[in-house]
Amino acid sequence: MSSKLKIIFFLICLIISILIIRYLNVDKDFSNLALGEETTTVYAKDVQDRSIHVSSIDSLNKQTILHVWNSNGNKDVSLVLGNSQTHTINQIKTNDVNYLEILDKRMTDRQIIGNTYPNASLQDFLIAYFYWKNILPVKDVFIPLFFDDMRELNGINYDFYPLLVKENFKFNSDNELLNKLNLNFKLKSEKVDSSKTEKKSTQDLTEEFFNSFLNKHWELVWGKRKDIQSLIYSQLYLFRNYIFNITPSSIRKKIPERYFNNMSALDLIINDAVSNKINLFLYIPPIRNDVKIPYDLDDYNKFKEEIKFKSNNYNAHIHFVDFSNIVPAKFFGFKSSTSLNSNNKELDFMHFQFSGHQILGDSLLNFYNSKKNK
Amino acid sequence: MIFNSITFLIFLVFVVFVFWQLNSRYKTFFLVLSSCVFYGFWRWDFIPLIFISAISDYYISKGIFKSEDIRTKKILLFISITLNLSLLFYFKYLYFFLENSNLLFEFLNLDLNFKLFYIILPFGISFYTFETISYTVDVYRGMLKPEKKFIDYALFVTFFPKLVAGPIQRANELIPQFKNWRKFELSFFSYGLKRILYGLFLKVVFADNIGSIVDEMYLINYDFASAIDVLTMSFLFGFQIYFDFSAYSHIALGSALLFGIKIPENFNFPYIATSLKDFWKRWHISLSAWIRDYLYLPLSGVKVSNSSAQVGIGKVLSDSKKKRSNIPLFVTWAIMGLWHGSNWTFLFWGLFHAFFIFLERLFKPLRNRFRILNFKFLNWGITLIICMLSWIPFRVNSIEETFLLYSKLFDFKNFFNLSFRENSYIITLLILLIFICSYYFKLLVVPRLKNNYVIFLIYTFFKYLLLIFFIIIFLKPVNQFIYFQF
Repeated sequence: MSSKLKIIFFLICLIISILIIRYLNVDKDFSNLALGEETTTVYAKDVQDRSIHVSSIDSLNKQTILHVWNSNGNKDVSLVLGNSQTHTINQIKTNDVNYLEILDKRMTDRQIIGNTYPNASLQDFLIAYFYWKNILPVKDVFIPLFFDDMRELNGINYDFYPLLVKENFKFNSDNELLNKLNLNFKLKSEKVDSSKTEKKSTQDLTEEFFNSFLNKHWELVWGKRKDIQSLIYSQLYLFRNYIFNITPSSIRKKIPERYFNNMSALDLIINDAVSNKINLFLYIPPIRNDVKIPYDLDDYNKFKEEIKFKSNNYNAHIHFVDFSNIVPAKFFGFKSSTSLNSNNKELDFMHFQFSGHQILGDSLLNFYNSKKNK
Repeated sequence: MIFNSITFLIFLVFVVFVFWQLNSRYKTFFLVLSSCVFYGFWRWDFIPLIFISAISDYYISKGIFKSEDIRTKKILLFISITLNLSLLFYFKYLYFFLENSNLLFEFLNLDLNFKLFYIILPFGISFYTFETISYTVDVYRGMLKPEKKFIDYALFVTFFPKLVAGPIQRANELIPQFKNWRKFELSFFSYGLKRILYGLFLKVVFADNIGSIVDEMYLINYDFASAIDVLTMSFLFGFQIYFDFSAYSHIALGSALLFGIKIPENFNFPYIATSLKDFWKRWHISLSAWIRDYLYLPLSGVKVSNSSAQVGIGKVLSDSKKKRSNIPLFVTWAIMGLWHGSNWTFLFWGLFHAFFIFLERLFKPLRNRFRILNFKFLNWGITLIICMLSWIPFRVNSIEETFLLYSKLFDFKNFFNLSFRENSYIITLLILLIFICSYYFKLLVVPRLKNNYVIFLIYTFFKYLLLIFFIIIFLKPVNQFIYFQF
């Protein structure tokens, strides 16, 4: 093959690649890929249609929450933490709301504030708990304890807490996990600060210039690269599921280190709640129960026992209930296939329809009232 | 300048274009100037440092050549090496030295304490220092005549494709090419482009994407790690560093070819090696050849009669008739380890390799007696695991962490406990398979494809399309090459 032909190939391939990027249709929302198309993200609002539910702690969300709390007369706060089960509704219909909004309408003596994250870990709940508790009069905290969440990230998902990074958030306590989280925040804050103040190299400056120039003048190609990266990752995710036959029903085993750190985070929340007389409502959240659940049953039962044991160890402020079976299977949805070459719908074990939110909202309210009256 | 950036690509197009317009007389000067710009895009203030090293060695080498007196030659050589190593010591090892001296003083209850201060490590200092040392030593050995024109020598030191992370060059291989610039050849150009594409693809698609998984893996509490975790951590980092460094070498070789300059290969499927000796003929070949010629052989008392960066450490070792002592082996590898970084972990890494090479030597007679020990697949598996496990001290922060992770390999009760998401294990296995398949594809399938012209055309077209498409999508200069820090 001649060198001339190779160079011609090179140029043609360069042009074709640019054309593919230019005309490739990537209008899909990849952030919800794991949720599936039938599950919709919904954040709770109060009766005056103001946001009381956030998915990250940033300046704007903080201001919004404080504004709502001020406008409603500075009531004591019930903080609701959670993951995508809280902020999504399967097969959503008009006027459907999540259980957080249901609680807000019925717990009129309290200001409900929700803070939920997709794939949240207990360490995320720990950070959110300490943050809101320090700036609002939090009296009750609702925490769903998912076995899935015990497998989640070690350390900090900085996307959830841009404000905390900016403010160089720090836990005022000496504990191995808290020290580790403090260190992570410190390092990240320093990195952000130094990127602002550090003298930039000529390469940094030219690279910034070229990137902004290309984004501005060649947006349909250069600006689309991130979307196409997401498309590639999502196809790899589907491909992995196809090759290894991974479905939402596949068994998820306990990951020892993550489990340990997340349990330590729960211990820290419990200890703090006890010493500050904050009512902690811990519950095992609903899971689809008409088929074999996607956990190692032994691990799952031990997990539930461990939580129960932790709750019983403490005084009147720590409450625990197992809601795993309260939502009938018919209210759980399906999700579109998470594998290549399959149009079959798959069971969704976590996300339910509006009726599920109603049941969970009612149950939490009863749980709250029963403990409050004691 | 970082290779995987738009800045570099624009810079390269400009420099190549101007270079081929110039008369041969100006080409060398233009490339020295371009190399300074290339380096200056990171830090302009460290350019003089390169020239201090280059100018001193240029004149000292002339002095060595002119001198008839062997003692004077030795003194001049000593001055040159001391100067180079002093610069390297100051920038790379002083902090480490002071820090450890303070620890020693504390241990001995001495009321002494060095004040620690942060020193920026100039990119490429370990590489260009070795090149200038090799130049002076080759002149001293009489294997090389000193350069008459400083500009040719300056380009040998600063030539930007290999300036910050090698391959480490020898003057006798590079300078003659500067003196007789090749005429423009399309074959060099197209091959150079291909190598740049390979390098960018390996860097932005493989190394950088694996890097984020590796970073997350090494954040875990090592007390929880199981043997399968340690193996996964070492394999995945092993692949990251290979893709990263070989990517750099591909781009370096490719960029040089655009100017009609041939640079020796630095990698040759190292993870296919069936012994550690074989591994070092395939991994960072230019460094192992340097270490062989300027450290190991002199320490072993073997006279070096030729100098080449093209064959790794293994060949000469096996060719040498002189009975080998093991002390030079361990000393050489300890220095090789410390060359990579000023930390005990790097020293340990070097000694780790020395130990297994020593074992290979020790058991060599057994291999002749028992045929099963020559079974390639078995040797490949053992070598691969040893090489991958050796990356653990490269990545962790301390010797304690290294030993903790190694100890987990013997915790058979929890051998298969998983500390990461399942993806990490799947990706590691997948990359191993891709690596093996690509080796056999290149070895067995590509030659057959070449027999059918049309099919080979289609194959080449889609290969280029795939490479270019993925490079455009993933190109970003966020992660520097790992070897920049060495």
